[in-house]
Amino acid sequence: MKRLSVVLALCALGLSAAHAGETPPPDAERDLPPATILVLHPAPEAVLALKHRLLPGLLDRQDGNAAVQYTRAALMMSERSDEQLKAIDELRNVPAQDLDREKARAVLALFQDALQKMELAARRKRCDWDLDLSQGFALLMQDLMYYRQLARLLRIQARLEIAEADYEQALHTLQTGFAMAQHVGEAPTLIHALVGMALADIMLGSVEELIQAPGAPNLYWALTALPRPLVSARKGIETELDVLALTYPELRDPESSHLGAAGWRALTEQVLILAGADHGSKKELAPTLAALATYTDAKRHLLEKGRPPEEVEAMPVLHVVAIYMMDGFRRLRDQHFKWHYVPYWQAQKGFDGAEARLQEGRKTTDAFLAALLLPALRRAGFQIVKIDRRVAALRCVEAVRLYAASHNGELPRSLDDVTQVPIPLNPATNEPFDYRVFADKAVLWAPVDPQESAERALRYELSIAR
Amino acid sequence: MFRERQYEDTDAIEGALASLKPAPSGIDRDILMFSAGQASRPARRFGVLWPLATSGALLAAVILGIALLTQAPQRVTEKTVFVPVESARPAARAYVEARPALWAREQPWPRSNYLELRQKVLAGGLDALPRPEPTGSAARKETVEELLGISFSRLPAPDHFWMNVRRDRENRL
Repeated sequence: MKRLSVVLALCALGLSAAHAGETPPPDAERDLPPATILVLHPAPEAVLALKHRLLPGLLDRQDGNAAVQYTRAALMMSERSDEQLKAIDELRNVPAQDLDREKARAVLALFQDALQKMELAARRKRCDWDLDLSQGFALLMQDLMYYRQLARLLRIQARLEIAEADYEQALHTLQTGFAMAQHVGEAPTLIHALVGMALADIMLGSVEELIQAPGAPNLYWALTALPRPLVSARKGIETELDVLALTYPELRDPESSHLGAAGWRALTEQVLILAGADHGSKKELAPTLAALATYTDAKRHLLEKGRPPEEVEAMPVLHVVAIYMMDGFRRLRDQHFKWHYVPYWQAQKGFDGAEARLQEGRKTTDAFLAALLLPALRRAGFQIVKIDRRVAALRCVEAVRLYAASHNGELPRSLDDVTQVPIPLNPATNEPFDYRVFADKAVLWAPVDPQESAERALRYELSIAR
Repeated sequence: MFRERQYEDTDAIEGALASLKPAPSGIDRDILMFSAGQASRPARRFGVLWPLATSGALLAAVILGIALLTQAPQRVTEKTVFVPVESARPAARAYVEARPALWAREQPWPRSNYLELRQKVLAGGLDALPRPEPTGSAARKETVEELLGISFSRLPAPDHFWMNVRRDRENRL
């Protein structure tokens, strides 16, 4: 029996070794996400390593506020008809080699004014969105929806330029796109930051198209020179931290706010409606229900904090409730937000713990506001690192092109074989990317994060064009 | 003796008076009475004040009359005013008045749109953003004249200003 199992194991080992040298096994067998196929042309490093850039250089930038120009571009898009906007959608998924150039030119000509404004905006020295944060949760962001179309326009423009082998111009367009992603992402709300990341993701798709074009320059150092994180959500996170007190300044320090019973009732009603906990049309009942559910706990909380009983009894009921809820909200909020300030790969356990405490806290009445208002911060953290992971993976791809340029078009057997440039780690895990060669193809992938679906995880299948 | 002498003097006077002839008086009674009244009047304190005030009032009346006749007819508008009937404590009332309810604000997205949008964008990225409403060429646009409430046909000829600006610029070049 023992001998049989050894023979079987050896057979299995032999079969797998023979398999590894031929073609990549089917995706289902290896439990890997579907791959983005990249057919590469070897490309050495440019004589001037930083000749190609993915963000406008200092010499290209002029005085002025980029946000004004972006807003004008968005306004121009808002004046377009639905048919014109649909023309963008029709071209967005057409690969460069299949692109109907005449049609692409016609669509770009339709939106020439918006493209010019974006080009101008991306080359401004500063970007101040001048958002009125005192509006808090009521802040209006109607123009954001147009940035999706603006980024797709840039992608079509870059695709046309790549198809026409005008790589310098394609890089110019990519600079516009990446600068716009950064500028939008720097606006002080988490929604802006997420939109900025999505714009960067669209432009990284254009980078994938460019590096497959014959004769395209190697972008290893251009990708390496991008800031990390590419889109910072720092301002947005800071706003999220205080957005409740920005919306209602009385909640910044509810213990010293004296609104009277009617004032606290009005404020409680507003907060409950904002959070969607107003019981539909019976919004006038919401504060009473909140008071009924929490007053006993709230009173005990204030007594434990050292407030004299007679003072607590004399306070309006909803004032006592507001202090209790805000104390609970801040405690749970900080447990979440502190993990945003450490690298994602170190923060995952922290986020999980904070999430567990929030779930546990749902059983107590003071977690009420936190459960309703806190964003899914771990997901936001992953969205940030996902962009940087894609940049790092593309740096690995460009390192492969560098290697192939000096090794007769061969793929490196391992990323360790690449000695010309440093190979980046996966920033989501702080570990090397997985890289394996199967015959004339290589697969580069990152493990699936719990925050992403397996179908959308990162995986490149690389081959050298013959 | 004394009485006789007294009567003698009287007779002399009578005689003298009798010799006098009646003559028209030099005094006009009416003028005398007017002058007496004028003399008895107190001194005028305010000089030209009342005439000036009267003139001013008359002038103002004339100006207002002209303005009334020449002004455009006023449009009568209806305005609904809601009077709060519920009494509230001053602090609470001030709070409510200073911060109108969020749901009462004009918003293109549903209430608490920030939270909903944040959740959607976190889950679905850019595709979660609402699709833009078609407002372009299909929608009727108001003309500049309609927006400004003026008619360009009533304005002076364009070369009064812009043509002169262009001419100046050309001359400078």
